[in-house]
Amino acid sequence: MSQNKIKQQVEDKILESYESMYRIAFTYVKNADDAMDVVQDSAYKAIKYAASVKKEQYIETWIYKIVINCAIDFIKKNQKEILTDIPEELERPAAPENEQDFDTIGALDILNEKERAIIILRFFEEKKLEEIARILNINLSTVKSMLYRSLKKLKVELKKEVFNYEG
Amino acid sequence: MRDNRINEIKQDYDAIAVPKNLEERVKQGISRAKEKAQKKFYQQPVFWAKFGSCAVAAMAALTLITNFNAPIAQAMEKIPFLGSIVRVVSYRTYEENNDNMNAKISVPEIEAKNTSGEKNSTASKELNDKIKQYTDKIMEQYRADVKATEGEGKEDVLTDYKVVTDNSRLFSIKIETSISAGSSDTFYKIYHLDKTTGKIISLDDIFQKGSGYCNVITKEIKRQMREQMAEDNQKMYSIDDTDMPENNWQGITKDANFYMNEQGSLTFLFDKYEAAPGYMGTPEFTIPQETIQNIINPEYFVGN
Repeated sequence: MSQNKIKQQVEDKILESYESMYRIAFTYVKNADDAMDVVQDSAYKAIKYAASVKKEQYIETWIYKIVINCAIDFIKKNQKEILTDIPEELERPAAPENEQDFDTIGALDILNEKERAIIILRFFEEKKLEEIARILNINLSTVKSMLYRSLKKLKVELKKEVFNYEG
Repeated sequence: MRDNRINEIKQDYDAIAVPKNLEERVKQGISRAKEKAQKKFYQQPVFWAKFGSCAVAAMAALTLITNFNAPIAQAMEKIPFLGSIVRVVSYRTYEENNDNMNAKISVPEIEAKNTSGEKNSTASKELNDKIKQYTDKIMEQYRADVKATEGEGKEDVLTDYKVVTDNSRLFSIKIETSISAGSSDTFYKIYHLDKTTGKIISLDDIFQKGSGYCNVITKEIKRQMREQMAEDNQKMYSIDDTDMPENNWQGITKDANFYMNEQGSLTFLFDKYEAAPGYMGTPEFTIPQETIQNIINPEYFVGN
């Protein structure tokens, strides 16, 4: 596939799925501004390195991989700042647009970054376990055991369907 | 039939409101990446054709030397010493403004004199021409951007210069360009004039031929990057990423930007995004003398 063609396809896919990208980013960074930064940065990287997508069928995998990596990078680099920023954060009036009750999403915080990605991709973005394995660069059995572990942490009662569900 | 708890979270997840300007931001990111790909061509030094790898470059240089050894040696003898007087005597600023697009490009004019005080116009002209060619490319790219967006884009291009090395052997001048169009980008090109020969030199010249200096320096810089990341978790460099190895910094090439700092130590200057995320800016790495002392051409390593 020519580089320009793949670039165009990556661009189309981004424009088709930026809302999903945003929700994934938001689940990690938890505010609109930062989530938008992460999505913009992901779009930039996805196009810039589009040449490394070898097969058309992996374009979506590639975009999800980038957005998750960017979101995780973002929170890692802001860990310190977030801690010291708390007083200022309290003073700042919340923008009406961002007023939303995310207590339940906050429940995902007990999971580590990869586990969180697995829950988001499996249940919210309804990806197959094989796709998740490819997105996170881990093998299928690791995905399964991490999914099991994550659900346990979330105190979700396990049902067999969880593993058989094919989306 | 998924669990209720998960369903509850999914409802909130689906309810995450997508901001109105997200689409615009995504498009900015996309066009920025495309612009950057286009711009690659003028970030390359104009004069040196890119050989691709250090090894090939070193081989090419070796071949040249063996083939033309005698004439080179003769030519070298004839070149008068420049002495220490190389300076920026004036500069011109080229400015262009459209609605939200501006370019301001300062081009220095350098004058080299021999020890006798007599102007060395060959050396000056070669350097000035090279800088002008490079800055012209930047202006051309700006004009192409104006044309492509029919003047409706947003872009600020600022090019300036700074003398970064001026010791008894080398005069190095850095051309710095920052472009802001949505997000910002900064890149450099450093030109070096060998004061004793009047020749423009590159990284290849300050190392012994076939010394594999690119690998040695790359290894040292990666070591420093890892050390910095271990000490400070806010620092991040694009190395050792196993998830996206294609994003990793590929190492020093013979076209890398370098200068000699005041202590006479070799220092490498990185463009923004070259080896780190944007918030890291334009990092610099100084190579300890003991790391490279066996492979350098020592005459270039002098303090100010």
